[in-house]
Amino acid sequence: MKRSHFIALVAASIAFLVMLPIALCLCGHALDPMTPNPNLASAAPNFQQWAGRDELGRSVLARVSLAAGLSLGAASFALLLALSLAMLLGGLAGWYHGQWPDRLISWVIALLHTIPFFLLVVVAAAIWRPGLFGAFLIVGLFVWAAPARLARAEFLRLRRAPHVTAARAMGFPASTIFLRQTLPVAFLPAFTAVLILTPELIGLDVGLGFFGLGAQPPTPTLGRLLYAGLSSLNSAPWLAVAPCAIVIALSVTAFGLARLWAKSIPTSTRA
Amino acid sequence: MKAKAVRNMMLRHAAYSASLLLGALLLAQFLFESVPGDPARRALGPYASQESVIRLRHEMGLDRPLVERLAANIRSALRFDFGHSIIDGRAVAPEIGEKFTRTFTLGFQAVTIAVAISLLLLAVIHFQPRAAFLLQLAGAPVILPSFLSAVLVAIGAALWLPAMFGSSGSSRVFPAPLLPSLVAAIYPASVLATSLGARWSALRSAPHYRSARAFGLSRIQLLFRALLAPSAPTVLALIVSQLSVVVFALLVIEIIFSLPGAGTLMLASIQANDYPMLQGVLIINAFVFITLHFLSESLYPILDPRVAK
Amino acid sequence: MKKQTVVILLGLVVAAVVYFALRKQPAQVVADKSLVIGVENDVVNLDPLKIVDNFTLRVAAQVCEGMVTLDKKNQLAPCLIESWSANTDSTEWRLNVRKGVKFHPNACFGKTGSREMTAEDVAYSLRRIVSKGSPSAFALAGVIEGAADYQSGKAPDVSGIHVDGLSVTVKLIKPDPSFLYRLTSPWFAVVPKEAVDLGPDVFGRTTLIGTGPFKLVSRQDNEVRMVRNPDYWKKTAGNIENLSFRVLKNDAIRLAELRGEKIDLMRLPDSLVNEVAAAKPTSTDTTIQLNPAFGGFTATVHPVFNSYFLGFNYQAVPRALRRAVSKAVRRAEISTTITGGLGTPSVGPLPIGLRGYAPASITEWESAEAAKAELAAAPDVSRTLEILVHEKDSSEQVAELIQSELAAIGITVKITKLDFNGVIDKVLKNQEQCFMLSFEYVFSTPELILSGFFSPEAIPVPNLFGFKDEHFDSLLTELAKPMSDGKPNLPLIRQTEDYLIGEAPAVFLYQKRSAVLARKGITGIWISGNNILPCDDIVLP
Repeated sequence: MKRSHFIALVAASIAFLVMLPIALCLCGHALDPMTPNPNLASAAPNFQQWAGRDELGRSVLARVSLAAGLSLGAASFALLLALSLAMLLGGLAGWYHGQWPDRLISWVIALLHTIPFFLLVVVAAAIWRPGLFGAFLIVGLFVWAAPARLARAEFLRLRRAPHVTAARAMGFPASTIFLRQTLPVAFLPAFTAVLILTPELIGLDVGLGFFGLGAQPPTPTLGRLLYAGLSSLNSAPWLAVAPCAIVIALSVTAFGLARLWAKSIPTSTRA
Repeated sequence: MKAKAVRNMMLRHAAYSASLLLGALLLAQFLFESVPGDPARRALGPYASQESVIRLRHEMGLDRPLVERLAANIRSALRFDFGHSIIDGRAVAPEIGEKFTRTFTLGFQAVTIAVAISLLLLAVIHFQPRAAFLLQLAGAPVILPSFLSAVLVAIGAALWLPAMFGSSGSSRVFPAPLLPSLVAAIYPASVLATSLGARWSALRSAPHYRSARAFGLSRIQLLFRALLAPSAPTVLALIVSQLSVVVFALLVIEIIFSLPGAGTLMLASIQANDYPMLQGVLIINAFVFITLHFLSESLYPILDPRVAK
Repeated sequence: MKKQTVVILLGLVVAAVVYFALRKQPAQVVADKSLVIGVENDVVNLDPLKIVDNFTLRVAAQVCEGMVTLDKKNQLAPCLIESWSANTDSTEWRLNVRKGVKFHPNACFGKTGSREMTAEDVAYSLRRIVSKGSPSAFALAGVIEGAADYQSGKAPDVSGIHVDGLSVTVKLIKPDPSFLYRLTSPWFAVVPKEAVDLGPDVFGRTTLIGTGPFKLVSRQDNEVRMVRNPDYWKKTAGNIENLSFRVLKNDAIRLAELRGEKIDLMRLPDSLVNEVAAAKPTSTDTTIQLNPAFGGFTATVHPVFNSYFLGFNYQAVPRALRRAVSKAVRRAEISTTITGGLGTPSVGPLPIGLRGYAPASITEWESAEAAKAELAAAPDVSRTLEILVHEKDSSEQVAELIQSELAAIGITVKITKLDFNGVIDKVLKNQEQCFMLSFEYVFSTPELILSGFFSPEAIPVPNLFGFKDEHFDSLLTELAKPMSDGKPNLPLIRQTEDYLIGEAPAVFLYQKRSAVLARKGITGIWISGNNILPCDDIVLP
């Protein structure tokens, strides 16, 4: 892969995970997502309000935009947390292969892998009632097991890779080898694995919403808007259509990015 | 000699699974230790007197030291006794048993449907390579969040095809209602088709496949002996991992379809802060999935002799 | 095997799977005169003593009956107690039990299979209501002699309840001319001891024995089946043989099931009014004009006793702020936006029209200028409020509307969503500032509602506000004195309610009528003030 393509991919990922949520939130706030207007309750889409108004007469466009920003922001927050945990713990496990840190971390990974992840998140959220970002903090704390497995395998492989052996023979300190020789290479598969989870995490909000966990009103999230919209599918279909379209758009983008990242992994390092 | 090796490995697996189970108990204990405020007061809600709160604190063991509580909890978990529901005093274990039996029946049904659909699809492609575009199409649901596709299909079906999901027969456990399991099968079918498709195309370029072809095996023999048999461990692993995804999607689908299963139980327990019930749900599920993983790992050597050596 | 053969075979298998999946399930076997009602909430336990929500009570009320009831004009009417008398200062009540009423047959009654209800059963049920842990105890515990001691375990029996042949004598702590009005809800049901002794895993879960017009056949969380009780003591107008309740929590799906004729009747939640109505119902309409897609259905509207409000923590929120909020909110706007026209805005807690009562009008009270003046007179008072909301009754949307209305007079509102029990828990611990809740009144006279819900004795439940005021209490004492003609003292009630509104322990917002959506041709639908739909009066075509 060309270096310029790679830089473009990094830029696109940062734009998607960091800039896009911020932009969507700002955009939503500017369009006034909160002020009710009961005279215009459930008004159909028109030229001023492209996406119509909700049951309290608020602009659906503004609310969907803010909701998309918040949901995507929360999801990428959880993903970046999970990625850091996966790199750190997976790296440690791979580096100390067979020793007690590896055994302990692998055991925790196995534990988190066997208990259904969504169940754990829902129970933890039911206990702490943490709000939107708190809920995704919990998600981040529990979802790192799968990418950590990949990271561990990568580190394990890299420990015996020729270029690492060469670096060791040249007398580089272990920390330098860890940071410069292995971390960047092991990062790619874990990052791809994490990126693929983005749609699932945006959708997780729907699941949390069913159990009354997650964001506080009147803050909109995609899951809440979608669930609320589905109950008036006959009389006001635009309430469900707009958030649904956004979820699909975000999911497809995340998936596309993950595919590109997967292609960027040099074939020699693929599992 | 070989039988002994297999037995040793099984024992090792069993010990490891037991340690995971202990870990799950500790995790559950940690979660429920961290309930903010007074769990008994939080749980009892509207009309509770101070005395009943104190009684519940005693029942939940909150008036004893942590270590003692932990030991007591592990003891009672081994006896499959998770106390009583705060909502109406029902015993937790049989209630969870009843509700999760329904949900797991639905889940197994959904995963079976998913396996059948994906294998059929791959078989069709095997005989008619021009149909390979179907695999691309089948991969589409993976892109969407599993909940979202489940919720959309469920509500759409309820609105436009109400005749299909009449819950008149929904009280029976098996066979579970078809539409909910079909809805739940969409996502795992897609995952299975994509992952197995990738595995099979890798197998097709492997030397043993080419030599099998050179020997003049027919397409159908190739399908069973060169593709299906070597990928059996993958299928098994996928089934187990998809089951947990399906079961959770089912919790939500059950709420939509108002089926009396684990979803409605969880919803009620969460809303009423029924901590003994939630703790029971977490531990019993951990137990079920750890057992499933153990079984699938024990089946590995049978399906894939290389592992046993 | 040829390639084509395999493909064709596979295709056939796929076609078969699709066929069986899409095949219409055989239509429900509709025996003659069956009615299926769609309900909103899981039916987990039907024991009246375990019921804490109105949804379950509406189901249980078809099997169990109370001691007295309300007629169509919401007047006290005999039920399992045939007649009654009180001494001159109404501290001792003699309740005469109806003869010839049989409990539903069940094995717990031994060889005979069933037996007649006696005065012992009434006394047993009264004791059970005031027993420890009973959610309905608050209505009687502070009223019947010895009930409080029995509840706290100090006495083995309630000293104020005596059985005397065919009647039960109840002694009260203080004069209460409207004592029987406390018991009009089917929540205070008469149940036989033998059935309760079957244990908590049976009674209410798989069995429910009462005297009502329907017998329980089976209960699952998502479906309850009943059949007509042929030995019912009362002659009824209805003709239903099989009655079942199906739980469908999602409003849209419940409506779809009604259209698909899988259910015959459902309550119309406010969120669906816009979906089905051709025009918003006005406050005097008794039916809702449906849009053409619902041509095969009728919708009727029934007044019931309730009040939806924004409650304050009386101690924590200063009077000026409470009054300012109460004057600033626009009740008419909230009521029409949220309830789809089913609500009637009201400034007070008393049900409009209850025993002839006419409350103050909104226009006399609401005024943005007056609200600003209240705030201006109290410059030191904090202008922020936190409102607790929950998942029921569109409370979230109401709070969102209030939030924007209060922003206009400079009050900042923060909304916190908890589950329903979580809200009540915080309220009981006095950790809240404001909360969205509603009362469904189990009492059916203005005096009982005012004293039962707002007196200091009712703290913490149902006086969730912790409202305590000496002048108000003196008005209550005045109200408790019986009138010579036995009619309510309307001017004094009005004076008391007005005082309560002025002190604003809560901002009373609206009262909501219940609407029923049913297949065309089903007649005899009415809803009592207690919000119960008596299915024994329903006539199927």
